[in-house]
Amino acid sequence: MNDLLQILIAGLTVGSVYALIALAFTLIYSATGVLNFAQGELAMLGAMLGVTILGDLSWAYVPGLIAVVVIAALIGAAYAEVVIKPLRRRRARLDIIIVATIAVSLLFRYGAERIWGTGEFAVPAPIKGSAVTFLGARINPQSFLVIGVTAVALAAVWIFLQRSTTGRTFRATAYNEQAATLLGISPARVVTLVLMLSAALSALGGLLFTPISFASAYIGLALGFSGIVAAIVGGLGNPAGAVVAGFGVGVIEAFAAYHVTGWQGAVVFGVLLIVLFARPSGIMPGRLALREG
Amino acid sequence: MQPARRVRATVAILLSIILLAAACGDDGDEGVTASPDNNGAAGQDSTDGGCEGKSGEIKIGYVGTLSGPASFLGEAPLRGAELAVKELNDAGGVEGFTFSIVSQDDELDPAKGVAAAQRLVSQDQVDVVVGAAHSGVSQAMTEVTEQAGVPQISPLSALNPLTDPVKPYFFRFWNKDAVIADTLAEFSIENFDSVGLLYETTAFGQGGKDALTAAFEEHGEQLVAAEAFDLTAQDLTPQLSKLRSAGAEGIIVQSQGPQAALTARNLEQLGYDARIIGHPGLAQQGFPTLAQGAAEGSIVIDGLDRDKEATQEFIEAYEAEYGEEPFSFYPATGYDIVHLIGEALTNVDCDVDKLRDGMEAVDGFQGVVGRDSAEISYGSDDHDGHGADALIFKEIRDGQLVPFEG
Repeated sequence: MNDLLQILIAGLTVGSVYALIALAFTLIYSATGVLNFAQGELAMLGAMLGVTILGDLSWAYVPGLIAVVVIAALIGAAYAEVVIKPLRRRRARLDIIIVATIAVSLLFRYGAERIWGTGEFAVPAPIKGSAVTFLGARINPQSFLVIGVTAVALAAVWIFLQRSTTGRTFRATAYNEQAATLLGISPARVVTLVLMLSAALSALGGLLFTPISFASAYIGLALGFSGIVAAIVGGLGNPAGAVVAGFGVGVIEAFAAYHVTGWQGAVVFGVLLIVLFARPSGIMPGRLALREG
Repeated sequence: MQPARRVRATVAILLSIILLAAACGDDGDEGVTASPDNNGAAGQDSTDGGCEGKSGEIKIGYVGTLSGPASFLGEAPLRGAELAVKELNDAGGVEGFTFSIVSQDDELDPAKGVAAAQRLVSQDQVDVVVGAAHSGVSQAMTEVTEQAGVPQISPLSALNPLTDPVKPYFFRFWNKDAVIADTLAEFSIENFDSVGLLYETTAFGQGGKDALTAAFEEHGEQLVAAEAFDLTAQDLTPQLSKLRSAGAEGIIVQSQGPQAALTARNLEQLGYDARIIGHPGLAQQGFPTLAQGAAEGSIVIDGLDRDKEATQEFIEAYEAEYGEEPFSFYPATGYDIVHLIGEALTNVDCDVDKLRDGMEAVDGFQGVVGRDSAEISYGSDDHDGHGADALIFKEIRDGQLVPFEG
């Protein structure tokens, strides 16, 4: 039995979800300066939409996944139009907008509780069949799916930011909103876009993971917490840092659970604190950041 | 204007002082108990007259978790209690006394439980409080019931200190942790060569770990590993890998249904064929449902012996009322408690104000929960309900609890 590899893959699987949430969180921060505390609840919505679309309506996995991501993006757009943009137009201070995101997170949670009830739901796994033995470790096929789809999604976002015109306007706004406006870029459009992207990424994370664990209206808080911590450790506004830190938090959690039972939570945050002492601006070099601290 | 205002202010302050003084006086006064209805007064007039000529209604205040992910904890005993009330009232009540239930949601929050108990005692003026399931909530509620002098009976709370030392007004119906841990240890040692523990990092999980470690040592054995996890954990692979390395063939899960289901699924994914051994908290529908087949063969402590006549009658009545069989003994706790209250009432010649004394006089009560031999006897220094006779090992087959066969 290869416990080391077993734990590593378990950590990377959970870390995938944290990475997606951390990336989504850091993208919103880059574009708007807002810390979106509703990020975990968007992942929860992805999981719960999966319960309805994949479970109750028994859609096939791929169309179901696309439907969940599209619905989440629309929710993200509504979030931008109804909450973030009106507050920005009224020149609300950043802290006010951040409190508004907390209100939105509660709204999502209680809303989900109303729609889906209070119970846990098992989401059917898209890949049937039992675990695969790989170098002495037994790997759940869903783990490959989670890590694989996450890798593809991260690559797609990277190409989008670097290569596409829209991605460039987005980076320009993140770097210097006023200069971007002078160049004819509409910051309002960028805000909607980034919230859509960010909601879609979070929902994808929540949806991918639930066949391994469970979906309920209450999973958002813990997922969001780890994701947001990863985004901060990765250097706020730094997408690559967020992703690396997301995987890192997952792996540290898994190894801490294995080696120092009962103290895993404390160990994870102890390690993260040490990282922040050593590199107060996050683990990744600053020049990769989209937004100046 | 100015002097008039000053006068009014002075009057207001004086009134406040008088009210405060009155309130403080009330605190020490025994008059703030719950049942100032006519029955109590009538009872005092004829202390030795038995139940003859008395009638009225026993108001039961029920506190349990009725919302959120743990709502089964409150809903199941309440369903049983409501069934018992309906049956008893249809048959004319107990010695001319009928029953009614007012229920309150504690949201699994001790502060909400206290507020609920307070409301039931002072606004609804209930004669007895039933609740809560969760030990932390029950403990917090005793503050109110002790103060008000209203008996409180918890259907499921198992925390040892709840009844040690004895609180005059608090009674538990179910087993305490020490007995459960001992029974679990004995069973595990008898049926498995090596046993590990998986526990949640909460007071409940930690307490269970300490009790089980001690119980194993008492039997001259040891747990091969004890692994902890946070309730928010989404994956238990690390903990289970550790238990597998330690060679555990049976794993005692000290947690709740969803976490047990996660354990079962992770075990299946790991291809690790250890059996789950669960305390009574796992005897809930959510465990097999969420495990999606992976819970088959898991062992769980239940409180129902389906060969017992009273139990069969209860299951039949429950099915007729709710259209489904009870999954485990949870609903039966509420059912039995209502009958217990009826017995307590007759023990004190239907003097509702003495219900607490009637509870202490309960001797050899037999209900639905437990084996044929299981009974509850309270006393002035014993407020513990059932003992090991009510702990019945079951295993999950086709998603249902069936007697353990090995």
